Amino acid sequence: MAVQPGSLTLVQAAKDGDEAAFEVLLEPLLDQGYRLACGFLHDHQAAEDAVQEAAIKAWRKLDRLREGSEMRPWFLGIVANECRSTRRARWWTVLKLDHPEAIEDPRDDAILEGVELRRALRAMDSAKRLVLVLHWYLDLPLDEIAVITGSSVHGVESRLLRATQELKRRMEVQRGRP
Amino acid sequence: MDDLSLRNEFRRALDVVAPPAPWLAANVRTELRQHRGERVRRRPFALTLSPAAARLLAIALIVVLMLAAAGAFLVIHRFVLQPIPIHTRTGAVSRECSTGTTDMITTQVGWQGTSRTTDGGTTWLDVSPPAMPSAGKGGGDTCVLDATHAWVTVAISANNTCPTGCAGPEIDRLYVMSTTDGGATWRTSQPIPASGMSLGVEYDFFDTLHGWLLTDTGYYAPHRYTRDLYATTDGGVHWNHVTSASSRDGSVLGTTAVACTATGITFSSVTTGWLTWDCTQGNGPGLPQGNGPQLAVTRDGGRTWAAVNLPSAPYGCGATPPIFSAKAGVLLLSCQGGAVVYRTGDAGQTWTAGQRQISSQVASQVDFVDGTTGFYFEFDRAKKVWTLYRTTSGGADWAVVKSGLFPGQNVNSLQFINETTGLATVSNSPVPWVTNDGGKTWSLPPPYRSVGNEICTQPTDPGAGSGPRAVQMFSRTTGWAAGARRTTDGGATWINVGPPSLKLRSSASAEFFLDANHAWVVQTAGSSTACADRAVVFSTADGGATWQQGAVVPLANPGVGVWVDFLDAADGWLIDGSQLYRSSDAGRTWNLVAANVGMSSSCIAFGPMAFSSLTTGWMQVQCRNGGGLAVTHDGGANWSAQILAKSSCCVSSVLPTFFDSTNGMVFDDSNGPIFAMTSDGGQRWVRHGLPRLSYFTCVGKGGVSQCSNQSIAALSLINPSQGWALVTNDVTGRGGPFALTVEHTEDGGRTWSSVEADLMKVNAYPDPSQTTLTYVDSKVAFLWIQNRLFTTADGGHGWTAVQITYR
Repeated sequence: MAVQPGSLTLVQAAKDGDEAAFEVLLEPLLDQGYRLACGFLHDHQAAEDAVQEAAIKAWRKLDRLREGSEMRPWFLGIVANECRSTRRARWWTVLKLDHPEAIEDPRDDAILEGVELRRALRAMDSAKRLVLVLHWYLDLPLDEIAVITGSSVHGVESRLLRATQELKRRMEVQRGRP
Repeated sequence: MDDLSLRNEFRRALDVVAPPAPWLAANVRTELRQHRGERVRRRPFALTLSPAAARLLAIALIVVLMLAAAGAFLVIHRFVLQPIPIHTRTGAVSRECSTGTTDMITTQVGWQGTSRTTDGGTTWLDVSPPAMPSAGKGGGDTCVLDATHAWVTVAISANNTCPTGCAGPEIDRLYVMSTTDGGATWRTSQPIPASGMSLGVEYDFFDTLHGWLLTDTGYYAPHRYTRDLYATTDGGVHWNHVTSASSRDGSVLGTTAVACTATGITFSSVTTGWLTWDCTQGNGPGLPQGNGPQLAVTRDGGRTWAAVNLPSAPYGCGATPPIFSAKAGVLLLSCQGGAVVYRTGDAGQTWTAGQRQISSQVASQVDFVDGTTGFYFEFDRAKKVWTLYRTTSGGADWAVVKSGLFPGQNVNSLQFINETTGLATVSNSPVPWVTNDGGKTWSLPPPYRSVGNEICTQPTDPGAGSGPRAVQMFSRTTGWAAGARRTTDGGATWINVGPPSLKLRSSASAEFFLDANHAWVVQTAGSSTACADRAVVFSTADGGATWQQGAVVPLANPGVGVWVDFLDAADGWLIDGSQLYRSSDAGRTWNLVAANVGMSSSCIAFGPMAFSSLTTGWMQVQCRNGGGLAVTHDGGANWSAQILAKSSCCVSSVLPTFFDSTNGMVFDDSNGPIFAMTSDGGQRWVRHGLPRLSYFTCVGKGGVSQCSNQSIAALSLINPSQGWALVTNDVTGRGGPFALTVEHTEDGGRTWSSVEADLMKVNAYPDPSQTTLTYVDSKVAFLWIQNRLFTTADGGHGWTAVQITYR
């Protein structure tokens, strides 16, 4: 009989080519990956595409996940890269939402504020947008954001502070406040 | 605004654009299965690169990236996320050419950008035009007219930069590539002088000769750009400038929908054309202007344009190009929470909104066959099913065609080729579902099969490929490989001697080769009510010349997989994830030994078994907290966890192999090499020595550790004392080439000596899971490495590559 490669953990099993083990690892992360992509792209169809593409890339690159490393920041980092690529590909062409943002009742402040925040987010550069979504929307700790963005915790803190200030400024401008 | 308020506002704002996607996990699973086998297993860099080599590699990568950036090109790519699927203009129907998403011309022939299918979407062939200098292959903006006529734009950018305030890189010139033979050959147009900061390109062909192309160039911040319209009358070879408009000249064409995203252009005759925009979205930092959809019309071939009023248009909708048949036409507005269909009966002079807002999720779930007849899918969030509606009045009224379709899935797109034949791309299916009765019933094209909502996975040949895999040689001449391939001439010729395929066969399968003649192949199959609910074991005692079909074995966990193991020609075990069966008549009949062999409810049997006697055997299991080995000492009725060997970090879960009922071995190199042996049937395992490797101190992200440029790729023992190891050595420490050497032991691993072998070097790291070393005796051995087979007849000194014939 040929010696069969084996595994101790799911990660090892997945690295050995066990697709089912990889799915077990990945599925709990899909929702956060999807929410990250939606928050970044504001387009749920594109977000689904980005998460699917990220899943395939994660499968292909699983060997690069170092022993002892956390799967979540590694996968979310791939999703973020995929979102950036998607946005780069679309940036200068047509960006179309499946659900164009209607404001049917301008008195509905909740909808209005949502629109303002999304518009403000879209106007910001991708690095700032990413830390904003990861921190304020996904509630991830700074050290995990640092892993996802490939920077230091201190760098994330600084970028988050600047991005939050810029976001608030942009929202206030849109609301007509100084 | 405090942190809590801001966090709540993020949720409120972004939850709207992140609707639940319960089908996502299924979609990902489907995608992964389609990409199975694409993963490139490679050696971790920490093991292969010295710090100096890593620095050199990093510098080289930077240089390559800089060169790539300097030579980067730009390919015009219009992005319209899942637009209404577009057909060819058959008969009197006029619509925009297909722009990149899946578009089936017939049930068999279709396009997906510049990929083309002729088998209903089962396989797609990239028929992209060849790359132009300074441009990449594919990726342009496609326009598909029919089964054979298509165009794709290519933009050349000498300087792929984006100054402050721009919305995209600057392009120098634009080309249109055209094919009239389904992508077999392409012709390049004369250059179109679309220089400047490109914001987008829209183009359309009315027929095989007449086309129009609109470019937006300039800057969105501040709003300063130019729209140029070109036309061709020779199928896209020559383009003539028709008109030009500027955002500051006051013209309708120049000032309509400034900063909005253009969604299409379509010509319903050689004089009448329509331009549409979505002003809820814009490009660049400038905010979109305007309220709702924008539509403009030309009735003089594009020279002049007039804005079109859509009465009672809801705020915040995006228009998609209209579809006409004679004077009847429809135009779709995608709005928040649904869509509105406008219709015209006077060739677009006046438009009337449908009274009902159809609540399809995206525009791609709506499709019009012509200017009056259309279909759309609506999702019932409570029941999680889809309902298909139909209109024959241009959207004035809709009738239910069928409810309860595709439960739990997402309908990504819908396309009707005519009033009766349609295709739906659904999240759980690798190919579109097809209807031939106007949407009442849907089915998958053969060979695909579905049971209820479940798509049955297709069986695959484990031996598919150009050469043998998982080679097991049992004598100097005879061996087996994956997919029931067998050789009788020392590996030169491999023939598929497998059993016939069951009807309604499913994807799970297993095989076991006991010796040169005895083998078992397990196939799984389904029924009208299940994709897979039974297994059948085929056995051969004459090397595959004849196969005996065993009794049907009911499956409890067909999705997990099946595995089979035989101790001798009569005694074997079969497992499907939890149910263990036993046969004592060579696989003809099977009896249930245990209904749940996973040790506990949190574990499942998840891999092959290895029995060393009628009572003792091992099995790979997968539990919530990791995987491992389970052992039985009562023939499979009861199982418990067992650790055979442990490296510095990890426990091996590789199955043991046995020379006889008492002596066995286990070797695992997945976390540093470990080698253990037993002489009491597996009760006690003792670590044995391996060839000594050279280690050096290295620093990775995990801190300081010991690295080696060497590894043991394979180990083969012919008895508890005598064995050989294949050692790989990254001689330069730069990730290859790898030198291969053979080490020999005659005392069970206590001492090792090098065999003076003339093995070749390999450029890539030899994946241990794809490397097999088999000594059939002290002289004859086979080495299967990187899809090549080598053999030796002198114990490993001289190796000869075997020329393989594989089928």
